[in-house]
Amino acid sequence: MPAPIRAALTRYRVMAYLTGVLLAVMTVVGLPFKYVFDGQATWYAIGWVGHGWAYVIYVGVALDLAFRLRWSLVRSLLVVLAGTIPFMSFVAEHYVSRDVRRGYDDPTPVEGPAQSADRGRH
Amino acid sequence: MTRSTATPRAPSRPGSEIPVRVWQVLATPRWVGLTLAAVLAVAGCVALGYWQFTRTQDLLAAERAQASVEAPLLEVAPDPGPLDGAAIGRAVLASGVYEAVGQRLVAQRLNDGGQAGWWVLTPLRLDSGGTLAVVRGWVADGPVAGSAGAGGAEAARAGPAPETGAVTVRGRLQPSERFYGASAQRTDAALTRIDTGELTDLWGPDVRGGFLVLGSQEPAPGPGAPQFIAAPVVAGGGGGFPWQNAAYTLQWVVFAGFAVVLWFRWLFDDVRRARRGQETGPAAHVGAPG
Repeated sequence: MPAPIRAALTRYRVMAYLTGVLLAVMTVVGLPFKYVFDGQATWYAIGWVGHGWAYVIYVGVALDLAFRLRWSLVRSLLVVLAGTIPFMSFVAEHYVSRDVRRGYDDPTPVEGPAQSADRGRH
Repeated sequence: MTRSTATPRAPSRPGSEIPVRVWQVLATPRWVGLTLAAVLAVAGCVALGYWQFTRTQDLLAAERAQASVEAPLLEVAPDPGPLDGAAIGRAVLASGVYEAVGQRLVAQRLNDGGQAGWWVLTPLRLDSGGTLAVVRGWVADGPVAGSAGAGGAEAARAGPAPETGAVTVRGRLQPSERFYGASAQRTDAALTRIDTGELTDLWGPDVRGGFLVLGSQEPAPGPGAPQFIAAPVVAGGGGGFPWQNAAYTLQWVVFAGFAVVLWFRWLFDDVRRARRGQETGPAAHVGAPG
């Protein structure tokens, strides 16, 4: 796997975990705290604002990876949206990492000028 | 997105470039679609950001409205002790009788125009019991010269005399000014700050915590009365500044920027690939769904 792709994948994985953990904590602990127990605390607002900015970075690094791997728009959007659903960013991270690794460990060489003609349409 | 090619493809040879213009790539169905998607994404992000901006404004306005709802003093601050945080800045009304003999000037205070002068601080004996410190306003002239020193009590009465008889005062509550150590002693008997502890020494033990900045009065103050000063409006009692909505406003703007950046990156990548005779569009060799 080329070093820039590896780095982009690592950035994406770190942010997927961070965003996922923050979102999980805020939905599993934060929402019942506010709406079931009528709690009011500073950490609640800080948690959501923190998750918001973590998600912004997640989207940034995910789109960067999408560009480098030349994902389709639909696939890029699905990965980006996965960060908004609790626990889905873990699932997305699993499949993205698996597919990227599989793509590079595949015995067929990475696309070069010679291959482009016989690859044809998909 | 379906795969399409920008130009007739030719096997690329080292050193040869197919002359492909950016607009030729932009005119392909794939790029018409991607450009439309980018425009829609930016419009959507801006709309959602604007929505969060109006939410932020609405929440702030609701807080301000709550802070400006006038209520009787004893409802806002039932406890005569130090002012509760939620009571600071609240608009209240109270009735009583001014006690002219207790009036003091507070030194080194500005009016709303920034002019230096004095605040006129008068005790109001409340109908409901207790004494409320009322800043009736601002005057330019300090204690009368010559009356200081031995005649300290004379100087203490400096400033326009308050109304006699029953008055109803309306204004905003402010906290006791106990910020520093002991206050400076002045020879003219003027105060340097409005501290409930010091006022208790002057006016008796029933002085309430904090003070009121007078906004209006019935009967209205006569000519020569101190100039009203604006009390800071503090939003209180609610959830504070809506950080969440304010942050979401900014985040939607950032997302709109992401859409623009991605559009440019993809476009120039496709142009570059088309010039080399490589296929454009999503790659199938890595990370493809499967």
